[in-house]
Amino acid sequence: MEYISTGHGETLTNPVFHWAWMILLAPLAGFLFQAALDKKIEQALGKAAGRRLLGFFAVLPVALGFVVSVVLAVNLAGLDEHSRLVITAWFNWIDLQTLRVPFELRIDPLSLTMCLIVTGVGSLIHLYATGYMADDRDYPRFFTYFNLFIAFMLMLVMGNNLPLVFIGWEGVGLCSYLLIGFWYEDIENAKAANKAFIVNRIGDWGFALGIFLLYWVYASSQAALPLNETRYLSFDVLLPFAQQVLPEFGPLVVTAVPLLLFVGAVGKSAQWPLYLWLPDAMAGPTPVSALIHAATMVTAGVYLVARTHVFFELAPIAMAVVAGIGAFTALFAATVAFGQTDIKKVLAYSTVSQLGYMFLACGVGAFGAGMFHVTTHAFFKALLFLGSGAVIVAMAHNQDMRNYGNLRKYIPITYATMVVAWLAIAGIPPFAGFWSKDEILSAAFFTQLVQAPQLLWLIGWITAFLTAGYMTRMMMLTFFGQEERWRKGVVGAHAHHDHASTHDNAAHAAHADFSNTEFFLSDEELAAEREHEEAHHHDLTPDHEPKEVSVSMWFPLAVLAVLSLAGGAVLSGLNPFAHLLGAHLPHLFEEWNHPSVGLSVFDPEGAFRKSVAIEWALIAASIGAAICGIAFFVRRYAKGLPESEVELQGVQKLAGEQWLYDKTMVRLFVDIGGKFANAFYRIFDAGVIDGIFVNGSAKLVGAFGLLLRRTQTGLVRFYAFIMAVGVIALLSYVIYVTTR
Amino acid sequence: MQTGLTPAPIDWVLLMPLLIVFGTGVVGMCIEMLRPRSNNNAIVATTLLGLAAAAAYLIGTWEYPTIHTFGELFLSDRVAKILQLLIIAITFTTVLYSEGYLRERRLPFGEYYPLLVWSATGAMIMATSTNLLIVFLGLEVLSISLYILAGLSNREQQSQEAALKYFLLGAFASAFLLYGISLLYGATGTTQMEDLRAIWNTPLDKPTVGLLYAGLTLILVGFAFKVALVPFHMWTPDVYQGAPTSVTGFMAAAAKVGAFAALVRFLDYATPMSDAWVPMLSALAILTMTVGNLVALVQKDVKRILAYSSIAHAGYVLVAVVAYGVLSREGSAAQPVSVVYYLIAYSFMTVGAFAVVSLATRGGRERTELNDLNGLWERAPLPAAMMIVFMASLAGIPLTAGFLGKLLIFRDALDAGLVVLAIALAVNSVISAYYYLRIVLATVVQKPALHAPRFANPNAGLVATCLVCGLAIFALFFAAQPVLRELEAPQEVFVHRGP
Amino acid sequence: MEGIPLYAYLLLSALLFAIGTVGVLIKRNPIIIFMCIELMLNAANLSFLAFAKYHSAPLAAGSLEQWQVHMTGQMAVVFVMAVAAAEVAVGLGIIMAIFRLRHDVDIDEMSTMRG
Repeated sequence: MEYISTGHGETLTNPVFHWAWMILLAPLAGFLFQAALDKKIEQALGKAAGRRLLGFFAVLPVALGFVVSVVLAVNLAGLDEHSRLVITAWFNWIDLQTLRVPFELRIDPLSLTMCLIVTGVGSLIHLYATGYMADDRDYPRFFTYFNLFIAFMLMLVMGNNLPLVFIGWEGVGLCSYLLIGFWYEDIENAKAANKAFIVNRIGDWGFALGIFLLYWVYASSQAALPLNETRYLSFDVLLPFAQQVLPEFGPLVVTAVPLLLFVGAVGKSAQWPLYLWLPDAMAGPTPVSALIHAATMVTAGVYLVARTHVFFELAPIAMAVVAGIGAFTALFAATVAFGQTDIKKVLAYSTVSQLGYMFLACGVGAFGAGMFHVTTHAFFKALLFLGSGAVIVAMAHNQDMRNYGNLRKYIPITYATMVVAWLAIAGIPPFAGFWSKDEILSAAFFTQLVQAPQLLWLIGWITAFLTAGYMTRMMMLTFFGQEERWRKGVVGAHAHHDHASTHDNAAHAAHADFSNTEFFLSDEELAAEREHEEAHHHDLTPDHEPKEVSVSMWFPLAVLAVLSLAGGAVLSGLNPFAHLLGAHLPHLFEEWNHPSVGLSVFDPEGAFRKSVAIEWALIAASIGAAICGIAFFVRRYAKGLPESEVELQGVQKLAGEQWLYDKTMVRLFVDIGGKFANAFYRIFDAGVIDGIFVNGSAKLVGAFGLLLRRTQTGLVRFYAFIMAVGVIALLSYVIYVTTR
Repeated sequence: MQTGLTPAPIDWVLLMPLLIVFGTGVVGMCIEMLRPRSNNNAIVATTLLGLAAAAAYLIGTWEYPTIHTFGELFLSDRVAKILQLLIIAITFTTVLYSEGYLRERRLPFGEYYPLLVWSATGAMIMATSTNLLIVFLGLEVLSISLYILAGLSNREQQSQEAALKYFLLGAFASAFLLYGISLLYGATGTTQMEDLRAIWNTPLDKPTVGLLYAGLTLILVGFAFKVALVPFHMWTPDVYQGAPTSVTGFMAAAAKVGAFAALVRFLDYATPMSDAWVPMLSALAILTMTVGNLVALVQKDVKRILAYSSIAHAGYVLVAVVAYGVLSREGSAAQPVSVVYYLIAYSFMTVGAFAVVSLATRGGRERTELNDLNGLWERAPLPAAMMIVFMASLAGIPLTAGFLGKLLIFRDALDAGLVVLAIALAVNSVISAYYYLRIVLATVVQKPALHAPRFANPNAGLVATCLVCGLAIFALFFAAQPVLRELEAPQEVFVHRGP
Repeated sequence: MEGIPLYAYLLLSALLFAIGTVGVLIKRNPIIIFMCIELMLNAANLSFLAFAKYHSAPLAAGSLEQWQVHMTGQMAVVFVMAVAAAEVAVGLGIIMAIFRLRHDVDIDEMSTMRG
């Protein structure tokens, strides 16, 4: 193993950094252990004891990783700011004449921040899952996937070169696919898993093309690089030399590199137009939603942008695109959240919206603020999901909020922790969300790096109001009010076992129906699947009594609640208040992460033009938005479920249907059916990825396929004829070449 | 060339693997003749031992210098050794699961094994020879055995139809190949590939140039048929579907490896004519990838899907071949690394996939519609799980050899400036993920709806095949470095001359 | 080449090859198709022989080089004849098996697999 420490260029020999491998290998060992011994242990010790042991060994490696991460973080923080970068290489994975890809880990503040989130929040969610999944038939399989996911995620954030990051990237995608489709007997879940898989492929290809472009660029401009350096894809080669290498290839390449990487980020982090897979991904078990689809995997896109921020800084257009897409997604998803009745769907759209915030921060040059929001979001969104899981368990796996009400009486611990998370996401000080969100909004207002930043701020501000609003709606419908609505009969004919996806609009359902199903399954199979699906429902009944969940489930809730309560204030050192009031409390997160995500191309001093008076006004505005949002919707839902929401109507219904986003396109496609609409549908509206890549492309290329298939007549003489035609074509070409 | 009429000295070390494999077939046939109609265990054992011996010999003489021998007809260089080893491995894994499958299919013919081994001999000859006539001979040895194997099931019309189609079209294609060789002979006066390059150092008149280019084209047609490039691919789906599954798996892997090996070597010597073949093969590559993938999308039979997928994969390899051609013309690539790597990866995933498909047989009948695979997960979890690996690898999903292979090809194509090919490759990989996913769904997720699943019992041989192929796919990804280093190693060619 | 120029041989060979190709495309009986393929192979043989003669003529008579160039073409023909014989054996076997199964060998009826 070798160490490289850039900054001062000295070689570091502190053996503690060897331990970084342990973070990665521990969950991998856990995975192998689970995969190899699950059945045997269950048989040997009996179901209950065996599962307790398996659960313990599932949590252990992740917790161990957390401990090691803390140790490394302490050691790294001990170094001075410019040498906080250690790279430890194990062996050469690929060593060609023109490219060397070692198996190397990068230990710097950014990767350790992510490690701490992944292992810290990850171990809490693992613990929670031991309770949540306790009675599931496939308990060991679940933890097998879960540990594997952690291993890949750590590889993603710790890998020091793009191929390793890409392996992690694909690996977490694979685990996400497996876990969304965990209850694969249900055809809806299999469909959701496939959708996630296919939509993510688009992003992945963007990412892969970006990697290739970078390789090509760096390999063909060796002049600027150190002699004999062929690790073209390692970050410590890519990033420091970006300013010298990229511009020599012209503005097109300079812009294409960050945009291609951003396409990958858009897919993985569920931004518009590729966000469609995330709400459907709620089909997986709730711990999966909490870990993968809220706290860790979906933030990989933000991580990637922050990691490669040098490329983004070089391309103002790319920055603007990132900020624009982020802001738009934040607003769009926040409005859609109002129209959801499924508690997990609300949280899903909320996640999409918050991820939009993070990209907004990155787009205006505040990469540190973006990562700060990743951190606080991991606390409170994981808490929200786990809390919703507790609610769902308490309510016999019914996920429709219209059937809830007054639950604070029955599940007080869940209620108390959820309130903390609610105030955190709404942005009420001193809860965690306030600090990061305020930082993002103020960065958006003051940035000098994009045009019209105030517009971005306005969008962010409106979104803050909406966020407080839809979260209040969710809390009011679930925990408050006097009426216990499930006692008056259950709304919504369809209530699945945790993997609801009650399709929130008819068009979408119809759309989905003619999409992947028919392609994969015949009618008989489909009928059989439906039967099977209906057979295993157990549903909410009017005489149901909700019960508080077990300790292994509420303990993680409590820990996360503490983090959501105080985490933001501590990490930010009470900034911006502290510095506005003249006190010099350090912004811990900022100072820790600065070497990794601080602006390197732009002048950090000139990037943000701050003014004290406006800053006070912005803080007031964002607190005001949060309070208004909460107050307004508390009033609206104080008397329980309004008549208009028993069946969603009007604007709200439209919002719930993603502003007819899917529906319009389906109508165009189905009703008018003309070629123009068809082409429009396919080409222009990338938003209907659903239609294009799950269904449309299948139809389009399928049509070509059918056409070509006709030529396969089965007749030998025809085959020979085609061959002869081929020969003649080739010969003609050769004659053309030689006589030219 | 030798200086007298005395025969050239022969370096038997280099020919030994070929001879061992060939001899194994002879011994197998003798056993079959001595004890007809009894069980095949002795033949299977002999065949496996013989193949293992050949592999061991090959590995034992790995560092033996690269020598041009047997009157310069054979050249056993690094690539040839690796591909010979690969062909042996393909044959070995195929033989492992064949017996169980053939019994279930009620085709317990002992001749099967010698024929398979001889066919492998043909492919190995193609991989080592530098003489066009010998390549032709190897191709015929490979093909004639395969014609018989494709028609092994003499009671089934589909099998017979497959054999006849393969035979007629194969013979038709070899006529083109042979005519092409005769034209090159007309231009150069020899059938040695080296002279093809040497002749460009002398002034050429117009008719000679015409002969060279026409000969090149016709030879390419012959190879294009064997590796199934569009539009010379039409036989593939029908033959793959009709032939017994183990034969199909072998055919899809070994025949392609042999033909691609000969093609790469031939093009290496035909570099002066690359102004003609680079655009020609680029066009064929795009056509092949696209047609293969598009038609695969609308297939219902697993064997046909895999047949079209193998066509598409021939297109991917062809991209690598063209990229290598361009790079070596510019002097920046010494070995066809990506071609060989992809052939290795492709062979294991193909043999493995067909091995799993062969489970869909019961009581003499084989049904390979997609939904005939439903429920395989319950009946045979390990092969079904391996099926996921094979499909993931075929689709080029990371963590598998298929991914790294495509990556290498993609990189080579970009390095060579073949951007269009690189993009076509990328787009096609995305399309292909779709039908591989269908196979995975059919195997793992869907429950049998109409009829009770009809599967053969997975025996130890089949499980071993699946495991070997699955492990190879992961090993090639995670331990890619040794393989790549072996492929890239520079080497010196000696000519074994007379005294 | 006493009197008959090289191009005449080549023309005849190309003609034979073309006739063979067309025959493959238009005939329905597999045996006749196979005969047409044989014709194509023999066209190649003819051009091998013609080239062998043509290439060896200008070289010194009886020299080793002449012998080698000449023999390459001659050997090729022997090779091809042997290969063709093997193909005939296998091909007729396959056709016989089909005839036993279906009692007719119309090639256009052999299209149960398609698409």
